[in-house]
Amino acid sequence: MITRKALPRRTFLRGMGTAVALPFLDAMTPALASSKVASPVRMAFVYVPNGIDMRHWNPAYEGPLGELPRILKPLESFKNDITLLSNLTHNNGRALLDGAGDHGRCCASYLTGMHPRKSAVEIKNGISMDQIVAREAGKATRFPSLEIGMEDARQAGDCDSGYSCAYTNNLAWASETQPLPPVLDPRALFERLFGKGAELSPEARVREGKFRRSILDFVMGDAAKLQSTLGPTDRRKLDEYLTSIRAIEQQIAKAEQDNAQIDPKMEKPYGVPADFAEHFKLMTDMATVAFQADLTRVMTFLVTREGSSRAYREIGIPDGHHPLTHHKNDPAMMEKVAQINTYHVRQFAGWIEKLRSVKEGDGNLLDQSMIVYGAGLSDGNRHLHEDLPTLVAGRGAGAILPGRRIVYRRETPMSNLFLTMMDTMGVRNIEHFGDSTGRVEPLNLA
Amino acid sequence: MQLTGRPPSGVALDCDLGARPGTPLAVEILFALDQKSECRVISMATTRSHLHSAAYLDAVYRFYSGTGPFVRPLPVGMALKGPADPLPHLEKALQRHNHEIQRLADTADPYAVLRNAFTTQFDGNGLAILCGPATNFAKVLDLPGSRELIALKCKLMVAAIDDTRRAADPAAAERLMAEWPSPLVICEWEGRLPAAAVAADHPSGLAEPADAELPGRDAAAILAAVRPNEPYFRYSGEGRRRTVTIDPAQQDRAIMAMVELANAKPQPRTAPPKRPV
Repeated sequence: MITRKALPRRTFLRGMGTAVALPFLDAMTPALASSKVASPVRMAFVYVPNGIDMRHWNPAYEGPLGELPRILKPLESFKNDITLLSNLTHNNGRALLDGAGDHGRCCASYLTGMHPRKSAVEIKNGISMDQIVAREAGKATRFPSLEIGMEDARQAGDCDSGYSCAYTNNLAWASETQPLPPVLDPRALFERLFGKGAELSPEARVREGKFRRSILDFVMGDAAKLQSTLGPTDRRKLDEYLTSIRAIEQQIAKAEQDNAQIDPKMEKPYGVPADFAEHFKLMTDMATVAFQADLTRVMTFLVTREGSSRAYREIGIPDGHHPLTHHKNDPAMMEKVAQINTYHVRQFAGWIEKLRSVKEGDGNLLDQSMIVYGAGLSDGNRHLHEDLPTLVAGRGAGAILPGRRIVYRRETPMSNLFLTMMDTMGVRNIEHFGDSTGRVEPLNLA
Repeated sequence: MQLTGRPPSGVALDCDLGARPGTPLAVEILFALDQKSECRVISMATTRSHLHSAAYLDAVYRFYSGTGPFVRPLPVGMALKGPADPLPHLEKALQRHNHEIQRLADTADPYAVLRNAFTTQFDGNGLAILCGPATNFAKVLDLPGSRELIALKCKLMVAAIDDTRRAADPAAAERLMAEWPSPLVICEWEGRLPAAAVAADHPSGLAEPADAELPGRDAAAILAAVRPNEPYFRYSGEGRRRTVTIDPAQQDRAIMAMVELANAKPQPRTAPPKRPV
């Protein structure tokens, strides 16, 4: 007779002010369950600014993915895990008589499908699709959604030709007037995920840092107790998971050490690594853990703010990103833009690899996810809002048949894709979103 | 026109190009008016579900606009359901004139392009022209917010819709008459245009039957939309639903205007002049 009692999905390892959620373990499946417990679908958006050099993004073919264009080369070993979508458009990102300000508009409309009000003070946009999903999917998780980023969380001021910084610096909008600013500092994100839920001030971080130990030290007692009740597979899973949390902690500590010379009172986030790739990895490592432990199922990642003029000295490009994209067909400038685009995709590939390495059920975490990578402009030089570069990584728990390029008809609203994605996330009562004209076909149709 | 401070009216054209003679020529007249800055074609769509129909619209656009960095993108909407029989007369024109529509993905969702066209216009600056069944425009009314948008942006629809086109989609025709939010004028002129209206080196030179008079209803509808106050137009009815025809006594004048427009040579746009330093 089988009497094993399943471990609740919402089990936490607890310690002083710390609660570490667990990944999905076999022990969480009821022994007599007639069918396997379905893992949830996770959804994330990774947004890069200033458009992408489409000459090196779009393959010359549609259908099964063959040789990938230059910018997508870092994803070569993930060809069977990605889907390229072409010809999606955001009409509401266009000027529509509002004049200059494509960077402000394209970021604001990206997940809302709405035409934002042109103002540096009185902001008005729409609710973003991730937040619509978060209202449903978020009922089951500790955080309805997570918003992360890597640059400039200013919410006030004019960031693009009369458009508020709220438009260029946020992807997620909880209401027409309430953007959800991304968390930039890895320490703040870590503490949000595993600490008391409070983001500490830089001074407090310095103070706490003096006697900070690993959060795992606080929960070791609980962990040891749990380990003794688990089978060998779950023990290995738990061990890998806790090791990855420890690795994140160590990376953050290293970044803080590197930044120790910086005055903690200055506005720059204290634990932000100076190196772009390191910062990206830290943020996405935590995103992986958040998905793995089902802390959230919805995430937005604004890699850098729209219109960003960040220089990429890491790859030998001292010029600002945004000025480079207005290249006026200068081959040298275009080359640098393509290098930045490729560099971004390389970091993204690192995250995809990580998600694919995490086992969940019969597959892996990537199989359970829909990770959209894209931009609100296609050609950053001419500020085009059609054929937006869009890539979906993952299988969405069977909702996506990856490994191919789908070319939609021109001017197909991006909002149509969002409606289909909302269906996959279990939000089925929405008939219209943004400027949608319907839904795109389910992405698992051959 | 530039001195008035108001941009030319933006035209959203929906047609059944390829279904009958006269429409290819009418589309050229529309682009000739665009070239004279009397209007600006902001979207085109076809109710025929045939790539040749969409490709021909693209070919005419490129014939008048040329190529280069100053040519604005103008996606062509094409219905997925609708008559799809071969159009050999259009094929001949397409073999000779450039276009960029080779496959379905090169066409656009007709409802999106027709709706989006109005979003680009100042209030009351949009024009809708229908030279085909009412299917596409009626469907646009189903998109949330589109009625309010059209009421705000579209000053007039002129429809060259006759019994044949009504019969092609009677429900849509009825709905358009009842629900289209802007004033609507039905063009009833049944006159014909001389063979001389067709210029041999234009796309219509191959798309229209040779040396034959052509039905002029579509061309008249386009002219009535863009030049509604020409003295040769006779309106009847009152309110938001009226009809228009051409005064028989002034018919020659109207035909001459259409022939001149149809024969206008394309003048590709050039770069805007540099500002003096």
